[in-house]
Amino acid sequence: MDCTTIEFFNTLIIEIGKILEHFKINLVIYNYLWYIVYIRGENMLAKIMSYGFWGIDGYEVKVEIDINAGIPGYDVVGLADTAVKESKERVRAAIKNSGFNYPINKIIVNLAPAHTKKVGSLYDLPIATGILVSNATISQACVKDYIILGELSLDGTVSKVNGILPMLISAKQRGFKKFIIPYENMIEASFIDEVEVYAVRNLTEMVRFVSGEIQLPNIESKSFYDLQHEFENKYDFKYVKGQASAKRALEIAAAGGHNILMIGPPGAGKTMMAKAFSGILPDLTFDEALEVTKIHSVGGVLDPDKGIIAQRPVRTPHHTTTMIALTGGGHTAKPGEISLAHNGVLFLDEMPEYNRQTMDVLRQPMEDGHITVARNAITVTYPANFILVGSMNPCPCGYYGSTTVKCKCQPGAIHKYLNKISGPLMDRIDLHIEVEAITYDELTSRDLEEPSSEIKKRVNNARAIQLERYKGSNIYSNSKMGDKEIQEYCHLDEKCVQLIERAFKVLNLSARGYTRILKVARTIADLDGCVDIDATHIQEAIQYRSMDKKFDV
Amino acid sequence: MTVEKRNILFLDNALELPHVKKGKILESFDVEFDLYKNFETIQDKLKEILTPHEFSLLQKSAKHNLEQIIEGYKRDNIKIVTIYDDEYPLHLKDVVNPPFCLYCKGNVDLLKSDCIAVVGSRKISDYGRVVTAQFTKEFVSAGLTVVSGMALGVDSVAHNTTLQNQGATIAVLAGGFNHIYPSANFGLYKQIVQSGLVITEYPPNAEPLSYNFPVRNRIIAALSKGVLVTEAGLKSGALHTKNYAVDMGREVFAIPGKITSSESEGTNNIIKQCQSTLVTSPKDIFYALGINLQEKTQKPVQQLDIDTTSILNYILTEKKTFQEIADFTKLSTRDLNTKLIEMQMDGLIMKLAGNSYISVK
Repeated sequence: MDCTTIEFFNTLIIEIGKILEHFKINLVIYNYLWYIVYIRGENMLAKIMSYGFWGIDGYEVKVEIDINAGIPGYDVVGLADTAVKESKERVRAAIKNSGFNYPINKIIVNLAPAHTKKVGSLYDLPIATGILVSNATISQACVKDYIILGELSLDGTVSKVNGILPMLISAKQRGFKKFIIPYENMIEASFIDEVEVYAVRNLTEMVRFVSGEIQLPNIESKSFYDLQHEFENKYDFKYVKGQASAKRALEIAAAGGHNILMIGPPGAGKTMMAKAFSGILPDLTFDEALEVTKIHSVGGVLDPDKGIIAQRPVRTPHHTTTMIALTGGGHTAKPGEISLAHNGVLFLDEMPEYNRQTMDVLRQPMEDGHITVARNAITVTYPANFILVGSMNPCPCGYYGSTTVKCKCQPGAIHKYLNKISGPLMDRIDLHIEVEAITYDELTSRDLEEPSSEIKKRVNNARAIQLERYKGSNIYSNSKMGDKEIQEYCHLDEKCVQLIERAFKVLNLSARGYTRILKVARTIADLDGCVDIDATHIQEAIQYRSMDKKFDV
Repeated sequence: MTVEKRNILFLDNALELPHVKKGKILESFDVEFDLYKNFETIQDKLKEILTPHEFSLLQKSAKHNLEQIIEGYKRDNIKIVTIYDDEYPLHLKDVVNPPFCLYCKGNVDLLKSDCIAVVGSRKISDYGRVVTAQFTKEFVSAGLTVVSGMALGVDSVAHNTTLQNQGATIAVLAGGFNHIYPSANFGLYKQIVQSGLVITEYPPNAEPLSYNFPVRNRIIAALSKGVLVTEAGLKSGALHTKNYAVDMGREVFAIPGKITSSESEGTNNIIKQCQSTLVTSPKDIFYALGINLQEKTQKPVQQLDIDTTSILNYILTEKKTFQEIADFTKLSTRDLNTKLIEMQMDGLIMKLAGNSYISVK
């Protein structure tokens, strides 16, 4: 039976239904009529393609609707969560309020594959479409090419859903070409090219579109690189007065992807510098941006007006944060702060204030660059490759070493405070710098300092050298060097070896800082454009190990 | 192991047994009489000397296997120097109640070397840090062994400076080797064991109880020819050391500080009360102790480049932050970083908290 015949029967049934309703004849008879038509029509079943996501990867979901004779009802099978089950009321109201007919029959919704858990409200629109196909408002042929995603509100409006980008990317890879998505998700989807994406505002619009009554424009794909310059980082190093040594250390951290800890009194500008730090990191490439956006999209923190994360993210979890909030979790295994900071910066302000156990969960992802979140129903691996920027006061009162305010802390209390960050975590932080309090003269001086853009140029150059060096391996920056690479690329001449030996003896450095010094020295050499590490590089690298020098109180 | 040594270890093993009572027991028996082996037979005599509680302590100690304990000391490289031994420093007997036994880790020969004590408060100012380092450096180059208590503050600076200049140092602890205090100085302890000497009169399991500290100070004072108090507040434990030193007729030196500085109140006070000699230069001390510097080889004068000299002059009397030095010298951050670390390694300057530097020349 083809499209038009169904439509004909459908109209017929509706008309009969209306008459019956008018005469208030028992609905059982009405249902029976439906039953006859659909048995004969052999088109009781509707199939709509939709998509779901698992972590940051998508998988196709087939939404099947079957309408049976029986007591009117609505059942969802296929491991649907509460949000999906509640779609019953939304779908019903939306269909009704959009002026379509809602079948008063037994409706079975099956979400295939049946063994994976379906989460969220994104199946409202495909289910509604499926019902409309089943009752022949739309023909099956009209929707068979589309992947449909969207949440419905009671008046039929299609509202935004999380995870559009990862789903679109995954669907594109599997050869799907046509998509219908909520209008509010339009910008997010506009960065995917070579596919047809249509954004709909409400159910009526969608029905009219698929049945060919109206035309919708295919979403124009935008160029990511044009967009990148639209967002300007409002924190720029040109506004940070003084602090030459801290800025230099941050430049090195950015160039080599090193983790960094800033120690200094309150009001020294630590937080401001940490925020400006993302501005001197190399620009995100499109692939990196997509990866970041995927995670943010899944986490539900993507700004719908921007649609894509064009700048490296800076995440600043508060020190009351929990382990799960950092690593990711919850029953849907959402990404945590460390994954949201992927390809960007995780800034921990006032590090000793964090719960020690909470901090220690960072250790393993900092080594691996990803985290596996295992929950009851689902196990997901999220990338978590970030630069850690920490800040802390030198003592509980905050003024140890300050020239302006006298520190009131007992020596023992200072040690205790500094020891709050566990040794293994401290081990993974390559650069420690002390930030001095800013003086009034510096604060009020009108001279502008070197802007972030200038620093960024040097950083980009150093990164380019590193990319060339590690070509073909899965290392992108000096901070990720393993023992093998250190052996290969951090060759020291006799003079440097002697220097390091002497430094360890005289400056009382702890031995575990050794590889850190080599890695940082490699980055400094890259910033200088030198092929080999020389003595001055080593010397400067040693300067950034102030916590190793026992910070003696 | 001789019987007299065993006797002392046996008595020491009863941790809380008072020092005086140990002395009395040792006097009452013949030196060749093994207290541990014959404990059952001498109980009545011991009961006359000791209170019932003290006796029960000793009884408990008798139940331990002394041979095993001695074996344990050997295994942990703890050397035992008792008052009967030749290694025992003679001048330690100047104290009213000299320790019967010293538990030592490291180079025991240092006990016989010329020592000077450098002591002071735990909480110190930058000034205290600098002068302590300056004086200690000179003591090292004069070949003196620096004795201190391994506490935070002045003690740590004294030990650290000595180690950095490859000098000899002795740390006197107030607890056993199994309870290193403060724990922050555990790394320092390891270093001193390696290239210096750590001693204590307490067996390894003794905890560093608060009243052990003043008692420990008598050893610091007795070991040394002179005691230098670099910076001490009014209630500093270093003033105990000074008292012991005065009692034993050791020279006491103190470095004056600003009258407005609370960290120097103690040192200024003892100078005011004529309990110590005011010193402003290590030479004052060498002169008072009769040490002739001419014998020692003078270090060759280092050739300093122009940047180094100008930085040194700039931070000669007052600490300056990195930023201030950078503004003054107009050096790039990169070059200044390199320069400063070089100067630190040459021992010309010292890094203070707050990213600031001062000269220690």
